[in-house]
This record gives sequence, C-alpha cells and structure tokens, in this order.
Amino acid sequence: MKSDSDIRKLVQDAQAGNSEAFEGIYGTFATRIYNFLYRLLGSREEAEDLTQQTFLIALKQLKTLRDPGQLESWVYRIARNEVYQKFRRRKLDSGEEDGAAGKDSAEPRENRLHANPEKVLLNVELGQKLQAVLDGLPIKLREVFILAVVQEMSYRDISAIVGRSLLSVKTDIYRARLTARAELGKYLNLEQGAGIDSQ
Amino acid sequence: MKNHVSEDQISAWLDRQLDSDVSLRIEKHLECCPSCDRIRAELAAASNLFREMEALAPPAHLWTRISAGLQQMEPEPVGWFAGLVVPFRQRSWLRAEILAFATVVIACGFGVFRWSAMQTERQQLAAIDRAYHSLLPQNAESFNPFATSPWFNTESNPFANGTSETGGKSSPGSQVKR
Repeated sequence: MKSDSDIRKLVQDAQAGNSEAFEGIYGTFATRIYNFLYRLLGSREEAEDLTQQTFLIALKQLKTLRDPGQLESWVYRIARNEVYQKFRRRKLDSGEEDGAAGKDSAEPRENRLHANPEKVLLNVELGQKLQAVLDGLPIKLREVFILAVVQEMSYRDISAIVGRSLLSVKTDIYRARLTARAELGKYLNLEQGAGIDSQ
Repeated sequence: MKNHVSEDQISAWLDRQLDSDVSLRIEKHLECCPSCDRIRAELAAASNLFREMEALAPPAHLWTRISAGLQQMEPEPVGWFAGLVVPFRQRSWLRAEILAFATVVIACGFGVFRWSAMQTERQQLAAIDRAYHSLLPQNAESFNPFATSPWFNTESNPFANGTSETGGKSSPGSQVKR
C-alpha cells in the first residue's frame, strides 16, 4: 500500500494528464475495489464490469477531486454508487431487489492472491456459504460489514464512504455480525453433526 | 458480574475502533467475565471466517479495457475559452444554475417588454382622448347631433332643442314628411 504522500503525488501527476499516474492509481486501488464489488455483488463478471466503470469515472473526473488525500474513499463512493445504480436497474428490469442473479457458483481458484493452506481457511463449500451469508444481508448492512470486517477499514472511513453517521455504521456492523453469527452457527453445527470437518 | 459490556461495544472492540481507554477497560472485563468472553468468542469466530476470505486479483485485461476507455475521452478544449468550457463540462450543477439564471432573465425581459408595450398603448389612448376632446364644440354639454340633422323637420323633431314638443300626442316617426 502506498503512503499518503505517494498517493497525493500520483493524483497531482494524473490531474496534470500523466497516463502512468492513471495506471499507478489503478494499481493501488484495483484489488480492493474489485474485491469489495465482488463480495457485494457475488459475481465475478459484474465485479469486473463495475470495477471498469468505477475507474473510468474516477480517472475521467479526477480533476474535480479537491483533496488528493480523499482519493480512496472517493473511489469507494463511486464504486458504491455504481452498485446501487445496478441494483436499481435490476429492480426495474425484474422486480427483484438485490437478488442472486449472475452469482458465481464457485470460487475462482486461478486468481487467488495467497494460497497459503494454513491461512486460507476452508474449502470451496465454506467459501460459497460465506458468500451466501453476505448475499442474504440487506445491502445497507452488507456494504458496511464488508468494508469493516473483510476490508478492515476504520468506521470513520466507512462513514465517509456510505454517508451515514458513525453511530449508524457501528450499529449496522453489529447487526450484520449478529446475523452472520447466527447463519454460520447453523451451518457449522450442521457440518459438525454430519461429521464433516470444515476447518 | 455486573456492568457487562454491550454486544455492539464488543463488536466495535473486535474491529479495533474504540478509544484506547475504553478498549483497555473492555479487555479487563473480558478477562474476568466468562459470559461476555463467550459472546466475544462467537462474534470473533464469525468475523474471522470472513476476514480470511480469499482476496481475488482483478483480471489482467481489466486495465487494458479501462485504458482504452480513457483514450476515447473527449479532447480537452485548448485556447482562451478552455477556462470557461472545462468547468462547465465538469460541473453539472453549474449547468443547472446557468439554466435557472437564463430562465429568470428571459422571464424578466418578457415582463419588461409587456410593461413598456402597455405604457405605449396607454400613451396612445391618452393622445386619442385629448384629440377627441379638442374636436368637441365649446358648448359640449348642450351639444345634440340630432338637432341639426337634415332629415328631420325642425318643428316635428322631438329632439330639437333637447326637449320633446309633442307632449306625447304622437310618435316622432309618424310626423316625418315624405
């Protein structure tokens, strides 16, 4: 991860029209944005499309960014807006709110960043279950839960991204955590009962 | 044990989002409170599973697509008017404000035009009125255009001298000479 001064320099260079700085910005945030979108949408294709859209918008409108130190939360806000627009379009098209259309059936293995078997917890089935738990959360809870727990962002940054108060963010993360605990508790007890060691 | 820690505080503590003094107090409480520590363990177990989810790398072709999209961007305007055009393009609110301002200016302009047209109309009517009054005879109050009509006999004309002389004995039309 680049330091704050590096990011400021990148933004200034990109605002001056340096195309290498554009690529530098993409390289700095692409993985986090892509994973945020993938966990939010549950579909690799949709995450790719929206990552592309997010960076196109961000890089085209970079000159409107006044404080280069806010680049990360600004890009996240654009990504989040794109997701909400997609949900709105999907709702208009098929009447579903944020359903499972286009969800991946399995974790792609070829793109794993760290394949340490001790750290990477479980099998494909557990991965699917975790994604299913995320998909089952209302979008309002899902986004803050992913940002806080999966992406380990501070509540203050999350508050700036989602445009809600710190207290609201804290409460939503707690509610999402309770739901996740309940869902995973059912699943893990079932697995243990069936004699499958998922660890 | 009394004064248990609330679950949302434990949740925030797990995310390391509490002030250091609050965090320290919770840690001390968890060490000596089995029920709170059990909640912490359950919440932490669920969170850890998500925290350890694999991070995926974006596909390599994605930057190529984005880069191609950026090259299709509109060329930046060059010249003295670039300072006007660029902010106008970048800020949609500016366009809205200019549109609103233009609407107000047009509405005001139309109002001023109508008002001046009405003023002119009033002035013309006043001029006509003045001309009409200037053409009237001096004794306008006793002026009777019917009294001098060539088609009426002065003697039988009921309007002659402004009063009827027939006394209602016959109708004015019956005394017309043919």
